Amino acid sequence: MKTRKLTAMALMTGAALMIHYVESLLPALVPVPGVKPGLANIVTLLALYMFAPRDALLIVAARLILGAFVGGSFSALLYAAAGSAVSLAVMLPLSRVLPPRYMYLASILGAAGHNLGQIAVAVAVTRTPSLVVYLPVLTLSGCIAGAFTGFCASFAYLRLIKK
Amino acid sequence: MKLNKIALWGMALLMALSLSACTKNKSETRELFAMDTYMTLTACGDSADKALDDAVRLINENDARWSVTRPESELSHLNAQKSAAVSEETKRLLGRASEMSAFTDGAFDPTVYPLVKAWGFTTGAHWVPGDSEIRSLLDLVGMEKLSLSGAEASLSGGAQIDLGGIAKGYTGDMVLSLLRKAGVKSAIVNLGGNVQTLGSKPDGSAWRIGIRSPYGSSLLGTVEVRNMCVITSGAYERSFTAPDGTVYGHIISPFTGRPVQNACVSSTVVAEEGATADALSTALFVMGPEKAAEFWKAHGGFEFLMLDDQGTLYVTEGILSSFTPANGGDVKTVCEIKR
Amino acid sequence: MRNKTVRACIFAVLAVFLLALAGTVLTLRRDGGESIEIVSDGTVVYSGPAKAEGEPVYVPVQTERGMNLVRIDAEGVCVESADCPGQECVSSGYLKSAYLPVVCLPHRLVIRFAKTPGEGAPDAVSE
Repeated sequence: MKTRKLTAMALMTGAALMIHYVESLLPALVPVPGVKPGLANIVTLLALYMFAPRDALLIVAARLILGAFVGGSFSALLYAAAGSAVSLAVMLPLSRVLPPRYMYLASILGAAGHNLGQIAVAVAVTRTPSLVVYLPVLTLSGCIAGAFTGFCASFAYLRLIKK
Repeated sequence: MKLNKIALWGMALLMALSLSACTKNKSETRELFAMDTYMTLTACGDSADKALDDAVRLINENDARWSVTRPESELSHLNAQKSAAVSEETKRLLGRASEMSAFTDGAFDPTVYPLVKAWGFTTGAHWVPGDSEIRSLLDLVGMEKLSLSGAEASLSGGAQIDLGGIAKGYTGDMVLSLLRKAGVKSAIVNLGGNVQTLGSKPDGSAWRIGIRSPYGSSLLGTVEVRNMCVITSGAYERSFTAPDGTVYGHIISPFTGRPVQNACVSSTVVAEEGATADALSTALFVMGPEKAAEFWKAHGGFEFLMLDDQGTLYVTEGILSSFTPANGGDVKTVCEIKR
Repeated sequence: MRNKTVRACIFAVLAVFLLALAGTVLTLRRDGGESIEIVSDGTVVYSGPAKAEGEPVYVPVQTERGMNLVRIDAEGVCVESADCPGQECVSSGYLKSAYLPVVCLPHRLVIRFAKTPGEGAPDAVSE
């Protein structure tokens, strides 16, 4: 049982890392810094529904740190970590109360949280409060991306994993 | 479950709306360089596309007729040969220019051209001519030196004409009448800072036209207009500083033969016709604040806004309610001119 | 119980979405903008962000009429140098307002903010 769980977690971390890397190779869809699909969130959502909170947290942390080594940078890690922390803080309790069918709701709110964390760090790091003007645009894109990753995750969970 | 579906559809609908809001009113735009300036034409409506193509053609035709920088233009021929066959359009514009010159008692005068050249405003090689030169060139000024008979125009006594102070406004009138005939209900054309509007904005509200400050790229304020032309003359466009430190603006007074030196630093005319507004904005600039106010009281038929060198903006009563001064702009006080 | 949670979440999502949408619309209505366009003789030859942090971005625009070297740096966009006679485009400095483009008449070059719908800005400027 323990080995099985370890393997599953390692696989999920690998998948998240892979998605994260491939996404970083894609050209930007919109010329606004910070706007991206965030497809690795699919794995985070699945992990939240499959494992204990602590294990899901571990997968996200591993993906973040390893992701920084694979074509990332320290500042990018800072933004991603802050975003993920807020995002997890939102999605974790939601994943406990929302049925898998409604994963997209958790995902959208999580994405909005992610954007909030990102901007907060950006404001703190650059000491330019005016960066807040990016928040609405970022959140709007986050809603769309969050809905997409949410649907992907619930599809994967209900059709592939549950069976 | 039902709520879930409604929410999803609602979101999809909102997204679609936010994307289509900008394209609801079909508007077409053309940009071109003509008449030594940069122009944009915007028209809304189904017929806008073709009408704007015709408008661009019309502007280029007028440019070829009335440019004094093109040696082959009708006006250049007239200036060079003292007498030349002119097209119907040119004849009409020359007639219009004469009318405006008479209307303004000579404050607007296209025959001031030899002086404009003498001061170097045509070439950019600025130069302060001597008093005797100015006096002899002033003898060439006066619209009575132009005569029109049949298809021929002639200039007597070495006079020369530059229609730069009216041709753009007149062309704007031609463009708007072309668009109107083509069924366009809403259009705005900006011919190098001469703004002329047809109807209201597609949403029914008034057009908001900014008036540029002569002291930079900021605005003095905005006026809201429908079916009106807003045309500004300022000394900021092409001024130069003489070796003795005097700053000369590019508007030359037909009365003194020298660049206008009065309290006026910018003059804007709001009128129905572009040709009128164009010629008047120059004429009022030449007159200065007091004479301009007297002229407006005596004639009317237009509104104006004039900034003097103390930061006072004189605004006629008919346009005051549609004018909003810019925050922290160069306008210190607004002074209403009453009839 | 479960239904209540779902309903609350749907409302939260809708609220976040609407707020973001409203905020985005408001943001896009500001003077100027985040992106600029370089227009040469009526066609857009370059569009991109209005500012460049770090190393400035240089965009040379060469036509048969002449050359303008456009610089986009941390402060904004301006014409660094040009071989036009008047040099007005160079002396006009940075592009500041959404309604007053930097223009080089002899080379038919216009640098402006990319159009965004807005009520704050006038429809045209009389000058």
